[in-house]
Amino acid sequence: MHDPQRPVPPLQRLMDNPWLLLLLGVAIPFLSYTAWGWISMMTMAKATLP
Amino acid sequence: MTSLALPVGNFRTGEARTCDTTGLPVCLHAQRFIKLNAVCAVVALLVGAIGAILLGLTRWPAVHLLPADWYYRVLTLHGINMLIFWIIFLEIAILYFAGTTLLKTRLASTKLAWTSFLLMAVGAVLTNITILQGTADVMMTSYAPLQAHSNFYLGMILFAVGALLGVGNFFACVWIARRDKTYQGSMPLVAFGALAAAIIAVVAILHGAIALVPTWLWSLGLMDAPDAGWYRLLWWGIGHQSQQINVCAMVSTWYLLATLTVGAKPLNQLVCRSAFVLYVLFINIASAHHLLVDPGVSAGWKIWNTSYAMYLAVLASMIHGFTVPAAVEVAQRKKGHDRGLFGWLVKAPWANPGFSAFFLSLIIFGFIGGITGVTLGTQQINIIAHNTLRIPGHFHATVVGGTSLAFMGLCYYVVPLIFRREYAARALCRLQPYLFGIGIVLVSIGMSFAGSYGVPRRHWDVEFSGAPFAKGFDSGAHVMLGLMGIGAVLAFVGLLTFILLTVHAVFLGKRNEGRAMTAW
Amino acid sequence: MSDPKLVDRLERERDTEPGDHKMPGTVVLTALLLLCFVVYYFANWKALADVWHVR
Repeated sequence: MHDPQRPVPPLQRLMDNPWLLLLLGVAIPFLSYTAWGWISMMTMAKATLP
Repeated sequence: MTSLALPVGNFRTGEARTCDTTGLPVCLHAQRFIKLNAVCAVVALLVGAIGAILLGLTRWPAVHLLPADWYYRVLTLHGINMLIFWIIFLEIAILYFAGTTLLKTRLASTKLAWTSFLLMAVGAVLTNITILQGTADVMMTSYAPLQAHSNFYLGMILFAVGALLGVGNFFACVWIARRDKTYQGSMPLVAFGALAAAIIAVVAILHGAIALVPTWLWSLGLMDAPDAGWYRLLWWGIGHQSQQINVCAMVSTWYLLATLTVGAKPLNQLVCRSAFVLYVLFINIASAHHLLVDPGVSAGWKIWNTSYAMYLAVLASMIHGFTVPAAVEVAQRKKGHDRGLFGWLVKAPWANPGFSAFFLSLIIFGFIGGITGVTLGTQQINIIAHNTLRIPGHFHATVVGGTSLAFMGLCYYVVPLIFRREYAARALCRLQPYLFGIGIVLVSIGMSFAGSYGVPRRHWDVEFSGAPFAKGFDSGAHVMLGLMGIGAVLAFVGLLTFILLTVHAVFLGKRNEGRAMTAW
Repeated sequence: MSDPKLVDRLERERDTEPGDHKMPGTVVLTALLLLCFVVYYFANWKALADVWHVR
């Protein structure tokens, strides 16, 4: 995938590091979907009766 | 038996063999668990398939087979067996294959593999029994405050924990492979795809645990009912994300089958791997499209998670949708099938069920599943499609026409290479992917267009028989529901053919130990 | 199954060879997919516009 004489590009370093991928793969959806979703629900104003 | 100490990898003497066909090392411990998980997957597929034909013949108004209570019971059974048990059992089998054979590494822990398998098997059996007892007619989503018997949630939790342990075993294999340097440079692309699927599985299963453990405690009377909005947010964290494991595993299967059937190699490693990274980082976020009409989450959350972030995952699918057929085309042209634009495709090995299942899966997933998925996931358009039959029309193209068909294609190689038994009735094997593929296309199109007429999903009787006011759908919707019913019958025949052929091959097929498998 | 064996193909999956990027048929298939998407997507926005009038 790359010439051993040249430095490994950052994207390939990410792709060759399963633990970093695991960390990012868990953190990004947790922050964007789960945590933000929770915060969104908790801060939603209660509907008042008409 | 050709067990031997291998020149490659870190296998212990007598614990591995070299595959006579592919030349790949096969860890004998992993092989046992590949077999066990694959067998359970096919059993779940059979249970789900029986549910499928009963549902298809109920949603077809001209037949309307099941009574209302059994309709919702069978819908629960069908959804869970097809979307969770069949797919995840086979995915765990794929992880054992990728984690050991492709990385040339021994299985990290046999005890962990047994624990994982037993938990998954017990969980699946417990859930299915609870459903069939009629105490869990809550459908796959089991939305709180709709409550099932506690054993339903317990079964699902046991299954999820078992699957998480299986995924953990895969990560342990990766760790051992890196420590022992059993592969040079980057891991093979198919193994990388399996790694992406495993990462997504971790996210999915953690969400499942957070959603289902309090729900189980509630069903035991130990807690108050979980908030309905909170439950939906968390449940879709497993409900949709488990389908993203499918996508990753299916794409890895496409690459593997392209290599096995026509000798294709990935077009560009960086591009293909980048697409898997996009899946890992962004595909889970797309679960938000299930909550597009929910009032509890903000518009900003919906727009970010379903538009900007979801399109990065769609980009990944479009990359794979290009690189996989392109790899096949390049391989075919190099073999001399170079005539015109599509000579390579016409001369492709269409009589090989591994190839036909893979390529039909690619076409159905992209042209029907992909196009409808992006459209339905658009916030504004979702409002005219939400909870209509258009939604199952979409996911029967992705999960069934895409993933299940690709996995069937994979089985046409797994059985000869891992079980070392040959398929009989080869002509029927060649026909099977077409039967199933055409059937599921009719199901998907019938559902999608019936949904466009407003026909709801998860509805026992769209004719509203016995209602005080006559209400129903016009003839166009009925034509489409009929098309869906005919497709369901065809797909069921194709599926049953697959199961019978596979069960026969596994138990009674001609042994091929000591020689290469009979070429398709 | 044709030679070489899968194990050799996997070992060489990163090598590039002449003709590795000749894929006009796939480009046409992809353009067809894009065209289908444009038609379906437009039809859905049209259907939405028909039931949801903007005043």
